[in-house]
Amino acid sequence: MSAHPAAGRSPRVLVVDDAATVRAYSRQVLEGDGFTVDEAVNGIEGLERALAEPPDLLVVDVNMVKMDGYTMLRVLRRDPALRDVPAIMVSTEAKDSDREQAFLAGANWYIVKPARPDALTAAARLLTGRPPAGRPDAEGTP
Amino acid sequence: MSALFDQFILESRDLLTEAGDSLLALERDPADRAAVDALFRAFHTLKGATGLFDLAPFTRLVHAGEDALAAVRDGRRVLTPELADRLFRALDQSARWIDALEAAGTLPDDATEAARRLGAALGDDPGDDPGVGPGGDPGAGPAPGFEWVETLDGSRREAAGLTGGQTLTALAYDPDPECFFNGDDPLALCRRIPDLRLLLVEPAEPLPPLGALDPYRCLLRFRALSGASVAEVTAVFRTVPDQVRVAPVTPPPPAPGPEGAGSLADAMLRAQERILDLPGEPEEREARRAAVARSAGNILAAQGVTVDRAALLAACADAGSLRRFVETARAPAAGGGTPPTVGRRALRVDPERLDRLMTLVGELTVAKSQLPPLVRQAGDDALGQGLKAVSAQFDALVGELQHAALRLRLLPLSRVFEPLPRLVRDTARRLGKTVALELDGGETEADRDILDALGEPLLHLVRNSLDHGIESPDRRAAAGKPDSGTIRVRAFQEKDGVVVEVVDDGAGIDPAAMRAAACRKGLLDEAAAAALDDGEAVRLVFAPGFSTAAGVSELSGRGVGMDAVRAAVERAGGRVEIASTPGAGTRVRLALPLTLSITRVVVVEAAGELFGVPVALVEGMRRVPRADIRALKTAESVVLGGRVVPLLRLRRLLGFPEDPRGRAAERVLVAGLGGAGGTVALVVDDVRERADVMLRPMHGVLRGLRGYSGTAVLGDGRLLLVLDLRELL
Repeated sequence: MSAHPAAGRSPRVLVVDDAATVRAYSRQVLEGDGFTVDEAVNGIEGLERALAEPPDLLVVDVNMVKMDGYTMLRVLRRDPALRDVPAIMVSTEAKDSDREQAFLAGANWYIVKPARPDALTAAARLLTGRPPAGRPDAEGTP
Repeated sequence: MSALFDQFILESRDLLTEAGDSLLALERDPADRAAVDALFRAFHTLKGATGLFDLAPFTRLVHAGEDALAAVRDGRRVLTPELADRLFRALDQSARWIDALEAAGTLPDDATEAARRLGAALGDDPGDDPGVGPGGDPGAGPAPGFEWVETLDGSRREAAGLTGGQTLTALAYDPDPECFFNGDDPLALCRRIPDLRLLLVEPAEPLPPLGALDPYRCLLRFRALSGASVAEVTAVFRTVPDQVRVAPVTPPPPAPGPEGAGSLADAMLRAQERILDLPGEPEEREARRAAVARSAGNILAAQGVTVDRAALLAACADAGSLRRFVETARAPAAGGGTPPTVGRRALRVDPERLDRLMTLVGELTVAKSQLPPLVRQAGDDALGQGLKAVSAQFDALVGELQHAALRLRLLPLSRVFEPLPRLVRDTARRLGKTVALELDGGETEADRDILDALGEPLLHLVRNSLDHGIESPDRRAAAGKPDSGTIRVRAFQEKDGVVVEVVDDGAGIDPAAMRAAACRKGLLDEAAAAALDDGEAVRLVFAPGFSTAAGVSELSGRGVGMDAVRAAVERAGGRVEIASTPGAGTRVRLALPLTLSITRVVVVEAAGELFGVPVALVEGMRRVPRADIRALKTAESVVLGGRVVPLLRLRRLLGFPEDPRGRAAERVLVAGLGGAGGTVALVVDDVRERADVMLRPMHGVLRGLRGYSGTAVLGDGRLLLVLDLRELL
């Protein structure tokens, strides 16, 4: 169990989405904030990539043709090496029931598409243990 | 802050811990005079101390506790489980206040209200729950059973037409599972609630698999918010008054939006809490817990709050304990540099520095072992003699250094025992069982990595004993056992490791039922199942895929997550054993090494390469005459100790060419894989020495390789791949 992203290395995010534009957008936003980004175009490829090299964070789309995001997370959570990798689910749906579905499948956070750049990076930073942007010395709770 | 105030904080924490322990003891044995006195004294002392600082709500709350306990002590009142619950709640609240006082110097704004509510509950005669039912005051914060109101998210609150601050009537309706036979129609009743703003229908407990679902039982519970008065809502449910609780609630102001990392972090932490309470298969929930623990740990780390990951994982048992853990972890940080009070007398060292030290010591050990060959080469002249003396001295010093460095990381096992008393108390109460927990050997020490690895399996085992081991009081009575079950958790040092045993006097595991279940699940065929002796049949609980088998709990077995327990313990280089006597109980024994950093392996050779097999798995080494190997199609087997054991060739497993030598007797390593893996005979080219190595996990592209648990460097500098036999086979 590697709970901490290795010090001095930028956290690796695996973006799984079947829309090339969304992947490019996520890559641009996340790389712009100092993350290393890896991509997969559907759930199956996402699983393969994640198994080959467990990422520090997953950003997974819900609706994909070959294996949707829910299924991918469910399968992934059964792998000992991947079951604790934090996951953000991204979807166009804003309903509570969709949010619930995502959490049930194994997501740790839910972002409604289109994801604002700062919403994505702020959540990614928190879930990988990086201090919030512009605050190298993280302050305590409000 | 004055020294006096610091002293107060310190003392209060001690008193609260002592009170918690005494309350647990008193609940176990209501006749325990010493416990009731200690408990009373703790409340009494707290009352006096809080009085010094003008903390009226705090004083009021502990005063109420003191009064209730005086009545218990004088025999005017009985310590019912309800009263114990309320006292625990008062203690929890007090602990939160102490954290807040330390961090901010004042009590939170809602303290007066909370003190009033909890205090009134303590004053009540046991019976109906405090603040619940008609008559509870509005604005009192969530009453017990209505915490869900607090956690409603934005869109739901919007849907209910709430903007915060407005008082509504909340309803919690837990229909009797047999309610359909009484002519009740829960959903229809709920529909009749006047001015219904929100209706949540949830499974009352994780739903059983579809095949086991009884459609004539109501497994749902209902939560509702209404704009009508308490009296109006109560009237709708007049036929089922025992199954509903109605209370006025003031929903909290809306959750903070995504602006600001602080509030986002809060929202994300709350989401993690909610995830913990989601229903699901045990394995699924276990995985969610792991992901939640890592996520919450990272969120806290991002905010500069470092936490003990093992303790965090343990706290991820449910939403409430995670919330408390986060509150506690954050409290010192919010105080602006107030030093944390944990480990007051201990020197606090960043674990990463310790890890670095351990790595260096490990490398020194390896470097050291390159000396003896040089000494041998040097011959017997003065240089050789000198080298020999230095080498011996070096050897002793490195050994001591390694030992000392190892000890730096040792922590008492009591740390992983800590959550157990409360877990047992709360779970037993929820299940309607009486269970005594005995803890023994908490002073035994182990490496913090081992403690980390042990925490989760231990919680799991105790939960399993509670859930599936210990029977309900009437079943125990029918079996002629004492009403109260016992779970003993015992730790002790053994050879170069630690052993933790979880022993219960519950129903035990029926080997016949296990065999039948394994067949039903398709893990074994009838013949194979029949061939298992009772011990082996019981060990099936560790088989992957068995744990989730439907109906395991019906067997009074303990399949839930045992596979996960075994996996976690074995990842840490340990072993799990189980022994059970049907009707008398079960003993699970976890044997773990003292540290994870150094692994003892048997070095074997195949096709000119060296491989390591963890000694923990090796049962023996044999020479097996070729003639004794039986081949059936491509599968080979051999009879060892009167049993047929599958025989596998390491060369084949790793894709090397066959051994061209065609030996008369094969070198065979007998390895026990535990669980359904059973025993295998592994043919290797040669068996070499045993060695202590620093196991390094595979990195980069190597991580994708299956069948290896890591690499290690031998004393003479040769590289060794350490095999993960279970994955390989």
